[in-house]
Amino acid sequence: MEHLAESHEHHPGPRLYITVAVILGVLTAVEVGAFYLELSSWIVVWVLLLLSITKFLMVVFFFMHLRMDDNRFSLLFFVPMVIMVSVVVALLALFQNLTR
Amino acid sequence: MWAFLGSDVLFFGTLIATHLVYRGKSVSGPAEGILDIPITTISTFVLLMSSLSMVLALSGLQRGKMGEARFWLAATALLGSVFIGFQMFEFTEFAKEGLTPRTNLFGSTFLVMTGFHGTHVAVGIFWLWSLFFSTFNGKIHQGNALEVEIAGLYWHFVDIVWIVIFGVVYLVGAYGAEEHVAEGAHSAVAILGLG
Repeated sequence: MEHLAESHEHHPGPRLYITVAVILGVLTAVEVGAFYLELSSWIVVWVLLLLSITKFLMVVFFFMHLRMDDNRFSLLFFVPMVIMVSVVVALLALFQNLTR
Repeated sequence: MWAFLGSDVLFFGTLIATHLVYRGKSVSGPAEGILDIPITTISTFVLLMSSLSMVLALSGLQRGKMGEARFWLAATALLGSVFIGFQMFEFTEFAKEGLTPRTNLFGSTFLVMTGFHGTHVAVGIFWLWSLFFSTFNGKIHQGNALEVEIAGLYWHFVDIVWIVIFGVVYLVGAYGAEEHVAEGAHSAVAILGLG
């Protein structure tokens, strides 16, 4: 709790939050722009995924303050995240093989 | 709260995985092509901005500015309500075009996944209004801003889940549906260029 109380004092101010929100808005616009581009499909898809991951991490680290919180909170959040991504990848690979 | 969010990651992970696994396997009724990207882009932007207003509410409370905190708490709840409105509009349009949870695999997995996300948003809206009214009777003040920070964690989590759903299900899903239908290869693995 003491750590949390200390971390509040180091939270960034409104200016940084607004900057992050503007970047998130721009990235969303780029995502939608990429969607309508007539490029090779797998390039667009990987660009969309990278942009989603960037937005995800920006919210987690800046708005949820995970970059300045206790490392145990990061573990509590990112370990299930790794498990979840692994499950998704494994299921996709498995079903792709089963339905080929 | 972080432990709960970790468990909720797995919950939404299973819903998203199930949807992706069954992508392109609906044999009847409307499917991926029904998604309305322009409308959902607006609702996504609304939810992103609600994350900004949430963090501004916390910032105001931590600096002892109660008026600012109240304004941004109310703004967050209202933006969340607008998002729910967009979702209800989308579900109604889908129903008009014949897509319900019982229509096909796409309808079942998509509506359950986005429906549970909408339920999370609705719970968050109730939570935010309760915090808003608690600022008037002294239960929420600068000294216990942690109460608002915990609600904020939940709200931002709802936002990042939508970031994933919008990117992976809406954009990648709809893109795959348009690009690969002719080739008959719109499974998630094929769309990623891995199949």
